Amino acid sequence: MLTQLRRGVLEYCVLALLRERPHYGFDLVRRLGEADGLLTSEGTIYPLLSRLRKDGLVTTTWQESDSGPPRRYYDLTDPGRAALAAFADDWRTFSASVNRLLDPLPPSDLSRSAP
Amino acid sequence: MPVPDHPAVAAYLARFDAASAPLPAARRRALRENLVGHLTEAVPPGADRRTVRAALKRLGPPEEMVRAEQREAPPAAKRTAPVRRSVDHEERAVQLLTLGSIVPVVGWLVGAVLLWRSQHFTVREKIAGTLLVPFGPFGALYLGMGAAWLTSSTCRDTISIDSTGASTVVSDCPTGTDWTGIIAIVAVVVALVVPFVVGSVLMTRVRKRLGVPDRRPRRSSSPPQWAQTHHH
Repeated sequence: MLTQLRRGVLEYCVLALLRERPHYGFDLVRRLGEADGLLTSEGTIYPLLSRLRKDGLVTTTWQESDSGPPRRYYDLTDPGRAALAAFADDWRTFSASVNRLLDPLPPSDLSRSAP
Repeated sequence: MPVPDHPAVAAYLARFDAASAPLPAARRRALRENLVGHLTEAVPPGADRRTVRAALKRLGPPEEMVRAEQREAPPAAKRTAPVRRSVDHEERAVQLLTLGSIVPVVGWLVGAVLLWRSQHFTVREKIAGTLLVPFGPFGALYLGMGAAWLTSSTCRDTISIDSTGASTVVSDCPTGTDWTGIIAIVAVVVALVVPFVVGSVLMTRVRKRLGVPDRRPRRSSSPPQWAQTHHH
């Protein structure tokens, strides 16, 4: 269940990171890796980035690097920005509803009430 | 793009190549390019075995990356715009910037537009391609021919007619070493050669970046890299 949820929100987390500034692939992976439990395998981010580009939510450019070969940078497009804003609204409503249902019971109470 | 030189990295990439066989060639190439770029960042030169293993573990099994790709881009013809990953576009751009300039200005101009429309050249490479190949080698040739004509036309012929009616033609050409002419010839030769060198460097870089092998046949007796097998 958590895998499906993670898959669903990961692309918006990528868009959220790109809202600040363009990032190259490895940099995005590193930033996502800092968030606990968001990214299980770093390699899976690249197919996602490719799909976001095909869907027109991000755009890419090659830029020279001071410390090695050129890097492919990803940047947010206007449709990407709109998709992120729509998701942010939905997510706030959704997470607030789930939290309201979960909040009365702390984890220990949940395990105690299990048969 | 150089692949980090480590047996574990080579084994990982070989595993990826095997796992990604069912994917379309363009997608395999793009994913491999991402993978190599990632490993170049994650595995610094001279990294010890533990660092390499940790980087590969974080990256996850290559089979999982392939599964993610199949999930994100199913084979159904849902997406209409195919993703182009060959270097045909870039080759056309470089050919027009160099050989295409035989058609004055227009050929080069079309090449410059293709160069700037490419997604696989960096901005620095695009600037180099534009500035170091100004109007292409044939542009340089035409300029050189123009300069030669101007130099030859600096001789002035004077016709004098004496009292008997006989005419004499006297040519007045500048004497001594014609440095302007020599400099013009050197400039034309440089301008003819530099665009081909720049074009070749640009194509080498973009081929390496996309992992597209050079089409030119090699004289080496060793088998090509893709045919080599690793024995452990």
